[in-house]
Amino acid sequence: MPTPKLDFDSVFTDARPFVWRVLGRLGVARADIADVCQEVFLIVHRRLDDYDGRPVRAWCYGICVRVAADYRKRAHRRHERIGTALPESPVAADQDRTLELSRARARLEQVLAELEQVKREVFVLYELEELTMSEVAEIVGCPLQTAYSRLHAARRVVRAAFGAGRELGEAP
Amino acid sequence: MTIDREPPRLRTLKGELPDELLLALQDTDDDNATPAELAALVAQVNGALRQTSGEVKRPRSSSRAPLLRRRVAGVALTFALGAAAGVVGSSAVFFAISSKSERPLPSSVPPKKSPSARLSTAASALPEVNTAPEPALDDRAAPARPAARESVQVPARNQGAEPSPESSSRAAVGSRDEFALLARAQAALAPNPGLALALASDHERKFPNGALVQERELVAIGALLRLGRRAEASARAARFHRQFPTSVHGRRIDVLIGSEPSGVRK
Repeated sequence: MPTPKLDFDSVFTDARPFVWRVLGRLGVARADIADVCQEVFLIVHRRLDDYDGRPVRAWCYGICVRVAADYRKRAHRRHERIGTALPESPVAADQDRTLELSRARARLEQVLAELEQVKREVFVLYELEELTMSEVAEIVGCPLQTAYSRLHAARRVVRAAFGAGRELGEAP
Repeated sequence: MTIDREPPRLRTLKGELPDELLLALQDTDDDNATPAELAALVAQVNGALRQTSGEVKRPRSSSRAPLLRRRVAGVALTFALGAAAGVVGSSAVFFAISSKSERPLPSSVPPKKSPSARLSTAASALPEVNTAPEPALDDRAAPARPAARESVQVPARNQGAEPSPESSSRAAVGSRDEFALLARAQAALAPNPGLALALASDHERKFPNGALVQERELVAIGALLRLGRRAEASARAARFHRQFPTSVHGRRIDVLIGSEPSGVRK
């Protein structure tokens, strides 16, 4: 079966919102996302001719996963956990929700940052990007069962972290 | 593709999860790029692709001479602007790190007698022919250039003197190679800081007394920061200040070193 030819501009247009989003979720610092996005799309551009006909979205996700893993390896020293400097003082009622959300997101980011990258990948792709587990396994390049064990392991860590956080008395 | 019986996603498990976790999983709008961020990304990627295709796909021929001049002039312009004001266009990846900083550079730093002035002069004096630069800016971290082509160098101390015609032409060749090498390093800074660093080391080895030593240090420090090698970047910056205490690039380096963490922080 002949592989359909990909047009860079259409891939770029369709993929850039989720490429941006998933890179952040995979641990790329906000300030670096644009540059890492560029890296992803330069790879897309270079590999257009090697495109093997799989769903374009999964193909792009696969590139993101690898580039983000490289990023985290080379940037681990400057990787900063968002939310450690959040204000602790009481705030007005209409800010409660925003602050609560910021804290929740910061905590999740912190938990994800401490996860092994392969577990984070599966968790992010399944729980946040809402791909199917088959897609996830294909994107990260592991057997389906392995993807499931990574998911369950990641879930255990995430749930425990949120439970443990409460025990520390930081939040009511 | 088979769809297995997948577990329900955590975000759907109301009542079984801490509220805080549910909130974090459900309210994820912040993960998306703003329209402005996406627009900037389009410009950035298109710029990078133009640069890449210009360097990789064009055949080697004398028709590339204008391209080289543009690139070299771009380097000169970037350095000049960096020295003077720190305001550069989107194609100037050189200062991409510092552009993330909220802190502007004061524009009062005088650019006169800076290396950029020499750069501009040398760039306009480039020969018309036989100026094909390096064929590719690719992923290899190895600097690829025959050593023989590096045989002519321009000691920095000669820059201010009035050169003889012969030494002038030799100097032009040396400058051209040095320019081309550093232009590659600069171009690699954002897409591939590892390569930029390798090319900067290459420059250090081949042009220990070159005209662009300070600019090379600027590239190297920027690359180290992008690679997360902050301690090395700081050490190199300190060495730069010792070596070139009055350099117009000193403040730029301070900004790079000082602002990088705030650029990373959300």
